[in-house]
Order: sequence, then C-alpha cells, then structure tokens
Amino acid sequence: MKTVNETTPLSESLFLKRNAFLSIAIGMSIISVIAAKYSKYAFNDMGGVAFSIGIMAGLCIVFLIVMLIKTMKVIPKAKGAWMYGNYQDEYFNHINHRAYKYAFNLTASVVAIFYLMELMITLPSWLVTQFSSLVLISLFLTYGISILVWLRQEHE
Amino acid sequence: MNKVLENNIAKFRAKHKLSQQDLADAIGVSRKTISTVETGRFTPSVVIALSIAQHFETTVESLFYFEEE
Repeated sequence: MKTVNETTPLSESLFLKRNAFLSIAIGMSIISVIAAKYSKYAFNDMGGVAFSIGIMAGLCIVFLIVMLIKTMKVIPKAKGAWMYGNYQDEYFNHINHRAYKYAFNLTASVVAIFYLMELMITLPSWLVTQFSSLVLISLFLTYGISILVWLRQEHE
Repeated sequence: MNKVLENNIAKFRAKHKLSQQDLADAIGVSRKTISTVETGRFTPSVVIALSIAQHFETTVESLFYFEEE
C-alpha cells in the first residue's frame, strides 16, 4: 500500500503553527536554562526560588521535546516548507518570510547594541559568556511570536 | 496621491453564497489567504487573482480596483 503525503494548505498551516511553537519553546528553554544556572548564585538557596526556576526550566524542556515530536509528525506533509522554507500557500509563505525579516532585524539590533555597549563600557563577564544565548533567544522568540501573531489576526 | 488596492471578493462570495473556506478550497489556498486578501492585509499574486476571477467567471479588474486616498 502506498502512503500519499500530499501538501495541503491545512498541513502547511499546522506545520507553520507548530514550527512557531517550537521556536518559542527553544527560546524559552534557553532562557530558563540560563535563569536556572544563575539563580544558584543569585539566590543561594536551592530549596526556594532557585528550585522553582529549575522546575520551570525542566517544564520548558519537556514542552520543547513535545513540540519537536509534534512538528516532526507534520514534516512529511509539508516537505517543501521544512526543507526550503517554501510554503505553497502564498499567505503562509509571506508571513514566514516576514518573520525571518523581523528575526534578522531584531537579532542584528541585539548584536549592534552589544557591540556598542562593549565599546563604551566593560560588560559584566556573565553577559559576555551568554552572548550567543541572547542572540539565539532573540532569533527564536521573534520568529515564533511573529508567526503566531499573524496567524491569530482575524478581522474578517 | 496614494493608490489603495480594494476588492469586491466579499461581494462576489455573497452573490455566489460561498464561504471563505469554500472559495479557498475551490482555488487551492488557505482560508487565511482569502480572508487577508479580502481585508486588504495581503496583496495576492497574479496567479491567485486570476484563479479567483476564473472561479467567479469574471475579470480581475472587476474583482480588484484602485481607490485614491
């Protein structure tokens, strides 16, 4: 028996939505891991705030794994979108490209601000070591949130 | 003077008693594409404009027109 994995606007919509949630999950996981790592030093009590942040980080990672599995399930029905970022549906293609642009602009701004700050003041060492994390957070969160906002806008 | 792209898709849909989903299914796009084109938030390609016109057996000019601000 042959399985047909035809790309439809519905499957692309599902893939785009799950991809956006996956991006947000990646961004949130990175934030929570950093927060958990530094809360040990900041609060100095593993039984209180630091523990709660650790639990949050765990939940974020579980959410990330769930979204990864859910997104992977839709990939066979949205191969073009997954491999090349090309959606057959024009509106989905349009918002996907717009989200890429927003993510690029915001990430470039983060890098530029970081660069300028480094020229003017001595940045704290923890901020410098977390630079790549900040870039990834801005990239993934901007992409995911932009897509979800444009998918939710309803004025019809 | 600025030109704003307007359209009559909602009127044509109402005349043919079609929902946005019906029209979307008929021309092979998502309902979101139809709704954003109708509300002017998204400018469609020539392919979609022609597909909608063909579906309603009309011309692209009768579906889309410019309005000056």
